[in-house]
Amino acid sequence: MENIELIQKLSNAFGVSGDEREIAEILREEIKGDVEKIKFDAMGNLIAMKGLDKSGFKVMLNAHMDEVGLIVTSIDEKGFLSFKKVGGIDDRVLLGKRVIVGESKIKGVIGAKAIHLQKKKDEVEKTVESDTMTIDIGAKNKEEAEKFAPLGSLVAFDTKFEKLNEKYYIGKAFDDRLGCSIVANLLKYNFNFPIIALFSTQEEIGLRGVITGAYQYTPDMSITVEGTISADIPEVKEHLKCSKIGQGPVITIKDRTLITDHKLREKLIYTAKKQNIPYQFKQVIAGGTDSSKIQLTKSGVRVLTVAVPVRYIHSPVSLFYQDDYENTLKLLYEFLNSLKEEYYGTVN
Amino acid sequence: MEQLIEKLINAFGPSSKEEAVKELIKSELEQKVDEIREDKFGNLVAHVEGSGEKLLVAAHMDSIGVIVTDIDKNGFLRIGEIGGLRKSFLVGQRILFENGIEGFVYYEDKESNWEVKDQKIEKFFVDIGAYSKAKAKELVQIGTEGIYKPNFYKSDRRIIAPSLDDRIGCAVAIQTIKNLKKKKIKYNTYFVFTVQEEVGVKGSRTSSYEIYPDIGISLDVTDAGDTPETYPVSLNLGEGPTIKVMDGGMISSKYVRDELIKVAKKENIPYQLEVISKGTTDAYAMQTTKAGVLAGSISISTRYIHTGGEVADLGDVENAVNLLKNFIEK
Repeated sequence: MENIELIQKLSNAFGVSGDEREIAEILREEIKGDVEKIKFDAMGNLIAMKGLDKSGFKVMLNAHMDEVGLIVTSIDEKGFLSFKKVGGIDDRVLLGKRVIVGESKIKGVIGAKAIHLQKKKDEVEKTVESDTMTIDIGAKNKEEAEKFAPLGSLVAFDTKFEKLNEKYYIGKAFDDRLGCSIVANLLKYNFNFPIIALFSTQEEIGLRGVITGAYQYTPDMSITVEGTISADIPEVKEHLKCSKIGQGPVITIKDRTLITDHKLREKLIYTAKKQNIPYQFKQVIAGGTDSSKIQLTKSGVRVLTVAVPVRYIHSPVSLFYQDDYENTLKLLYEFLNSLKEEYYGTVN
Repeated sequence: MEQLIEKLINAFGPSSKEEAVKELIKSELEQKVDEIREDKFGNLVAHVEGSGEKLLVAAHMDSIGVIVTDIDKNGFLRIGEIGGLRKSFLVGQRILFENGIEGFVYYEDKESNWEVKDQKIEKFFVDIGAYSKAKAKELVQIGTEGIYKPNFYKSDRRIIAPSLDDRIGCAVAIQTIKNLKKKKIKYNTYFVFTVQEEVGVKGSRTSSYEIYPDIGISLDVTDAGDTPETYPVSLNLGEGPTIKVMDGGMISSKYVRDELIKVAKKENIPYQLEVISKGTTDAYAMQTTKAGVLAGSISISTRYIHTGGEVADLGDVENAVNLLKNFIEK
């Protein structure tokens, strides 16, 4: 599959909100031959520009570089690390997981009490809260732990990217490294309008990086490319699955933070039908993306959100299906290719 | 005035689908203003030229509503919320969808409780009288928006209707424009009929940036404290428009508040000072635009906001028009 090496690199790399440098470096290396200008701003956003000599409306392509993770908040005398979550994580997916600690790259495990010692039934059945968990990095004492994992160290899941079988892949941070790889790929092509690629930081902790990025490089329209919730697992009711693996790119109509541009979305759907690309709508009004901040930048931007459906996002291991990825890329390419001056030049 | 309000209530316009309201307002104002245009976010901007400071007066066109998220195998619809829906008032409502299709909201009642116990929107569904998925899909699609079916009633002084929030503010703006005496206009005034207020005060955010006024005033509804055994709010229907001091998103700029009070006193217009702690209006976004805007708000005290039967007093509406007109004129 095209892009698979890039996806693997991006998925394996460390990029918890607040330290996205590794991701930015991989992307910079990937796109440097395809764009005219590359900038970093004060929030750490990576911004690339292409086709600047072209007239017409500026189109932004946006994906966020950061992933959810943990941050070390205290270290006890024995060298165990307490932590807080960075971004939304279900406490129940944390226990017993392997992690990797930021700059020192030291490995650790989120400790769990052995089942043998959990005598009472209610103890086994109770959800352990993340505030009471600790990370064990095999340190002898506090001093040694502080050397490798000082307060404020960011912690990511230690998950290696893998091919499950012919078309399924598992790994961490597909939200939103899949989006990053799609935007990077789209930069290889020439379109007849200027393009601004905004690889944003700190999305998972409140859509922060995008605010400064979109303020400085404000487009006329923008597409945020995401990895989104697919809850198509047996226990979830049909109307709450949000999106389904294998049914193509997920187009957002409304999420918790915005309603996407109706006219652009109709055009996107027209493209999908014309090119015979499957698509689905995000069917639960949940989550929010960078596009809601881009939409309200200055006097307003017309925005779309398109995503690859991903199972188990915000957990140590997520899963995607190759055809969904390829169809998302194809839909966006065809859509951009079909944009004509008279269409995107007319705002209303 | 009441005919104007009735027309506005009957226009379909949940957040992001305000076209019908926009068309109606455009037709009301085309001959009355110096310029009328749509901005790139969809707001309708009516410009009334004046030589003084730049004034932005905003009323939002959108109403709360629902959006179709799923169509099941038997043709029932699942819905999501547009704006701050009050779920306990949703079951039992007649919904009007954008293409004229109607439906009735009911809920999953596995235990045969006969009453709604679990007020989560994912437990609700809409019956549009379709007998199959295929039939339902001919009538609505995922993403189709709906509103509380318009139903306008007027007693001698009061109106009962859905969407008074904020068609009543739109009516105040329209009537003010019609009543303004061209020669007396003090402010260079932009009346902005905003979009997407109910989903995050959005249209006002972008139009305030574009117009960047010196002074901003929103026209909206606010709470009422005059129903039996209600949460205490010192606002009553029929005692005049409110001049906002504070709401959940903003403390009004003292200058705007004081100027409005001055005008009301001088012209002998009844008013009430509004101090509430929840909810906000378009003025909230104006106030923090760029380097800041002096912002305030005139509101109509309204009962049962965000339900299918909001109640307001026509006298308050007329006095709001009078207050705003005199504020804008010399």
